Amino acid sequence: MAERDRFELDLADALRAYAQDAPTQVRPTEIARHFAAAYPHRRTAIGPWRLVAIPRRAWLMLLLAGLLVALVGGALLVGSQPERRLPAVVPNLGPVPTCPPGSTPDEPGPVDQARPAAAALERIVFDRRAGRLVALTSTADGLAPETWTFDVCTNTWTQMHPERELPDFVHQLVYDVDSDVTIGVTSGKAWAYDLRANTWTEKGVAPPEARLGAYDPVSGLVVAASAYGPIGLWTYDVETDTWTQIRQVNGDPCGYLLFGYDASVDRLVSYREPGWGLDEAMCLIDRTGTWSGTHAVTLPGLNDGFYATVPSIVYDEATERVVFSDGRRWVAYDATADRWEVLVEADPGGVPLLIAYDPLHRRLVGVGRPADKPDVAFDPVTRGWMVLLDRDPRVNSRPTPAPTVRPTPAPTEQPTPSFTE
Amino acid sequence: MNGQAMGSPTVASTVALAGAGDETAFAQLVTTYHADMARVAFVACGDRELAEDAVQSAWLVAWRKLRSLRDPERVRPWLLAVAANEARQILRRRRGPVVEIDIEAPGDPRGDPSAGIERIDLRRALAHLSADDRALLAMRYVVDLSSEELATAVGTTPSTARTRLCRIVDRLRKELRDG
Repeated sequence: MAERDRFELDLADALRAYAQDAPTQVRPTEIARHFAAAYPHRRTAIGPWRLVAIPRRAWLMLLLAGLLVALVGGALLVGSQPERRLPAVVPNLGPVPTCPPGSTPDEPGPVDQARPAAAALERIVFDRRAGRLVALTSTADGLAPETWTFDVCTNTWTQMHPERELPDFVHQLVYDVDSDVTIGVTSGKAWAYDLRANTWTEKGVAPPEARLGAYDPVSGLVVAASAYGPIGLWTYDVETDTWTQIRQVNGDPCGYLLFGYDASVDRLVSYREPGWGLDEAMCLIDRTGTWSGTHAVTLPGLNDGFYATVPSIVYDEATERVVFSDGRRWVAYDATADRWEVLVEADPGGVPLLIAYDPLHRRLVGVGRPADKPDVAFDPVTRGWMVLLDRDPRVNSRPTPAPTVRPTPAPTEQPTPSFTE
Repeated sequence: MNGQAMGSPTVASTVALAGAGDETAFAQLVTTYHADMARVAFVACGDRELAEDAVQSAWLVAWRKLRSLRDPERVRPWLLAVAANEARQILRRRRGPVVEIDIEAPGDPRGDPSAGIERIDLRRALAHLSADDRALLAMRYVVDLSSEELATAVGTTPSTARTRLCRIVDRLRKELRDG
């Protein structure tokens, strides 16, 4: 843990004083004796049990009933979401490199290659000019992240070993297309990673609340946001190392857990998980800081629960939607129609937590936890999965259950997006 | 805190024995870890009675599932996570999804002026957090779990645990410092 500041020391003192009221008195022997008597441990294995014999016809009826319930439920769920039309304007999102001749992007990479531990992968972003993912890992003590890249043309990981690594973790990585650097904010400062030079450069002081960010391809600037309310919004120009606060026209938009950019409606997307005494919420924000809510939408309930993790967000250019992952599901949000859809889910076991969009192959790339899952690609149009790098055989893991890909829903009428060059 | 009193070989063997149903070993675990579990549950619940129920439920979970614990060295964060989880479950069952902490503490004038954060302010700020977030705070600041132990307790990586904790602290900082 990093050294605590004055506030944290005060907070720790106050919490300890508060916790003195906890009911710490106990009679250990009595508890142990009571449990041993009431819930004796079994000394022998439980005998084999078998399913009660159910006639084949009854199974069929059960199956049909289940299908019916699923159909009705699905229709209600989708039908209950009112459509909202926002003008579809897709700005130029940046260059799309091509793989060198002879590349084999659709074949899994060598399984015995050096790679970051899946459980240690924390943040990823796609570098559009290099055609590689930039990834940060955490070490066991949570300090000193390591920089890795993943080449989507060869499906291989490379540890970059820059001369200087980031001093601490970042909440979000943003690739600045205009300046061709990856930006993260940590320890009160902005940092820029130049993949070609393989250097992290320490920039100036950042607003203390600025943690999250997204790249705005129209202004060519990074838009940063605070990670708790009341919400602050800034633009950041990495070339001049300048932060400019965005005045919010209609008050504070919803709080943030995730922050992204949706090119289909040219809006920033902010998502707040349920908690903090507040409901789950999602907002779309324009360049003037004006936000609009999405109250009619049934939200996906990301990051709910004690064991949940910080999810990730990415814009899927192929289907023009933002996609969220919380490690249990991948959920797509269509801002032009104000609808969301569960793309993929896997239970138990989960799906890759970290997602990025690979514009070279127009597909999503999923890496990171769970540790026993391979690195994968998911084609959002065909709904096809592909293993990019099978799980590390050195990791003791259980068999990987296949994720469930939701079928494509019936097409709905949508405005034709107009592309600007 | 007293939760770290057992040496490593003792922890492993005690956990193994307790998992097999040994009453003495289990009682030893209770002696060692109960107070910390109670503190975490209390901060998560904000109520003594609920915390007491939560820890009792947690010990029952421990009695039944201790043998499934893969790494006995991590019994402390595991027990604390179980206590936090039981506290959350109890709050959900008894009070519904919206958790209200009793902000007023009549007859409880305690407050440590040297600490810089008044008790009443702390309670009010905690009331705005979820039970999970309060438990995370307690694990870090009351019973002093390390990043790695915190990650074990919440089932994530140290960095993600820190991210989450950082957000909570940021929010409290804003609320308690800036009013």
